[in-house]
Amino acid sequence: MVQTRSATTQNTVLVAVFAAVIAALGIVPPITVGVTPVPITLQTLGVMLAGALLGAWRGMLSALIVVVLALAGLPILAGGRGGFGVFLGPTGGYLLGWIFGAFVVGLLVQRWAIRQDNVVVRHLCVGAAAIIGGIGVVYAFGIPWTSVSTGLSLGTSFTGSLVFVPGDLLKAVVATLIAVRVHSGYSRLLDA
Amino acid sequence: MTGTPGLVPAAGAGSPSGPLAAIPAGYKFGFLFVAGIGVYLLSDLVAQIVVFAVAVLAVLLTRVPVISLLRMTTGLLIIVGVVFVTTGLKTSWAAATTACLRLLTLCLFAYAISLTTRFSEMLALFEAALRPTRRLGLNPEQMSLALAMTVRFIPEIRNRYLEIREAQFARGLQNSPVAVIVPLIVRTLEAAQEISAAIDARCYDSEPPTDRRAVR
Repeated sequence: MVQTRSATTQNTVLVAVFAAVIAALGIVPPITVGVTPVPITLQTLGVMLAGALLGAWRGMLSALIVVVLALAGLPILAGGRGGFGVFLGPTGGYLLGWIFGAFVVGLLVQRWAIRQDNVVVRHLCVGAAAIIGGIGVVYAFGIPWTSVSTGLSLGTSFTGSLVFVPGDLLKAVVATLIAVRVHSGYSRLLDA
Repeated sequence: MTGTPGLVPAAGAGSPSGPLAAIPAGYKFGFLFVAGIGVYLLSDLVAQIVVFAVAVLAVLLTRVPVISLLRMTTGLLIIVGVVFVTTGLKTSWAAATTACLRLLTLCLFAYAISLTTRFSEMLALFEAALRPTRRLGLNPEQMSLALAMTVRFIPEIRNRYLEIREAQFARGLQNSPVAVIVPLIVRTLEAAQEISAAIDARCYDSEPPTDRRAVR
């Protein structure tokens, strides 16, 4: 397919503004959702959404931009962190995981989940995509990284990461509701 | 800061100063890369402590107030504390000390480098690093455009988010992420369409000149 200039521009702009959404969601005040007592930051929700709304490649590029800007020192990670120290620290692997996580969420949503005709099934499939990519893939990078960076055993860093699973599951649910709703309004979003 | 008005400086506050700020970013990252391998090769405790002291010195040379430095590294220090105790109990305290010193040394060097390098300098470095990707069929100009646009839009989208949240507060929906983020995404998608139309209308051409025949 020969890409026209306007399609290229539009893709670049979409990738850029979604990267800005991910970054902005990290620096807005945390939100208290439903039953959980602890306020959660919405940054990883942004990563799931980038994949689910823009598809694999563009979603991945959005996450990549956020990681690159954070590495460059822009304080856009949740809690106003940023800089190379975060990347080399114990949680750096999760950042790297965002890039591949967004890709996997995008791939699953684009190729499989959003094509389901039944509304309930579509919600369930998008949710599964958000959990596989946004939690499974991200943790698959994060946990070994923590273990290498701190010298803890894989088992210990796995156990430690379980603390974040409930919050992330909640974000996967929220991402699903948002993604299905936005796609039903903008059905051509994944075409390009 | 010069060059990029209204930009947030790198992780710390204020513009970078101190002797480290004068070193070109490329050398500093080269050093970080070597240090990253080096600390794992050092097995002697005294040598590790010496390198750690150098890292502390490097951070202090950034002339960032100690209070801000501590605030920046609180999260890291907590994790290092936990790691120290768990490793110490499970294996030996010597291994725990080594693991924590390595981690702290690397992170402190990294902070020192982030704090003494201008954001615009970092971006220039990344752009230089991206340049060879043209051979892989990627377009570095488009990537630079995207990076710059993201930086420009972060405060915009943050404000938009806060506005929508305030509006939903009146409906009692301020804690419903769906009610806040769906309008945010829809507005953002609309803005994206307008921006790309505006970019095309001004014939902003980020394609390399050789590729034009594909368009016309």
